[in-house]
Amino acid sequence: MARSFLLSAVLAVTLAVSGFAQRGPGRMAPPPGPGRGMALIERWSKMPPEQRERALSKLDPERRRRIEEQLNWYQNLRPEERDQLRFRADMFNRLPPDRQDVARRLFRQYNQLPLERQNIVRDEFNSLREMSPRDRRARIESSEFQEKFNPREQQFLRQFSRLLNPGPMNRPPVSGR
Amino acid sequence: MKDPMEMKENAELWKTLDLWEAPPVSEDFDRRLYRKIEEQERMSWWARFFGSARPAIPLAATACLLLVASFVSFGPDRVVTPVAEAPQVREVEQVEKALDDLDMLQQFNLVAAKDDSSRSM
Repeated sequence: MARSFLLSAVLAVTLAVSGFAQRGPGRMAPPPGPGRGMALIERWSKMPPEQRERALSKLDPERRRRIEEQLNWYQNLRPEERDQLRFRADMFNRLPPDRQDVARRLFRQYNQLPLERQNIVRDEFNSLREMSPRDRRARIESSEFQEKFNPREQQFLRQFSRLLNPGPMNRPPVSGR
Repeated sequence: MKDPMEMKENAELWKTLDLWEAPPVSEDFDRRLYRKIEEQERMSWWARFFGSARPAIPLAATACLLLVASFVSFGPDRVVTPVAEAPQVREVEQVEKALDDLDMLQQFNLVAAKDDSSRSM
C-alpha cells in the first residue's frame, strides 16, 4: 500500500514536470508563409501609434527608428505604389527560399557600395531588366560593362540579374525605379 | 563429504548456542498478544494504513513537496509568460525582415520586363 502510494506520488511529479516542459515550443506561432510578410506590414502600418510603440519598446533605438521610418514610408505610399510593391513581393515570394536569401545577401552587399555607385549600379540593373536574356548576357560580357563596373559591382549585377523572375502573363503596369 | 574443520566449527557454534539462555516468556504474553491483534482489527483503515506506511511518510511528503515545487516553477503563469512574449518578438523580426525585403524590392524590381524563357542565360 505504502509502496503504491509512493509510486503514485513519484509518477504524478514526473508527469507534471514533463507535461509543463512540453508546453513551450509546441505553442509557438507557426512559421510565416508566403505573403505573411505583406499582411504583417499592412497590419503594423495601421496599428495605433501607442500599440506600435509598445511592441517596439524592447528594441534598441536605432532598430526601432528604422522600423518606424519604413512603416511610415509604406503608410504614405500611394495606393498604386502599394499595389506595385505587393505584386513585386508576391513574385519574390514565389522564388525558392534559398534564392530569396541570395537576393537579401546581394542587397546587403549593394548597400555597402558608395552612394554614387549605388545609383549607377541600380540604373544598370534596371537597364538589364528591360533586356531579353540574350541581350542581357551580351551586355554583361561587353567590354563597356567590364570597364564601367569594378569586379564587385559586376558580380552583384551578374548574380542579381540571374534572380530575375519572368513573372506571370498578366502583370500590372511595371514601373522601375 | 564434509570438511572436518567445518564440522568442528559447527559443533562449537551449537555448543555456544546451548550456553545462551532465552529470557522466560512472561505469564501474560498470550493475553497481551491477542489484545494487540484485537486493537489492530478495531482500528479504522486509514489508521492501519498510516500505521503500516509510517516509514514511507517522509518519502511521500518529499514527493508532494516536489510536486508543489514543480507547479510553482513550471506552472501556467511561469510558462505562459515567455509563450506570450515569444510571438511578439518573433513578429517584430518578421515585420523587420518583410520591410527590408520591401526596401530591396522598391529599389530593384526582380520581375523581368521581357519574358524570354526559351533562351535562358
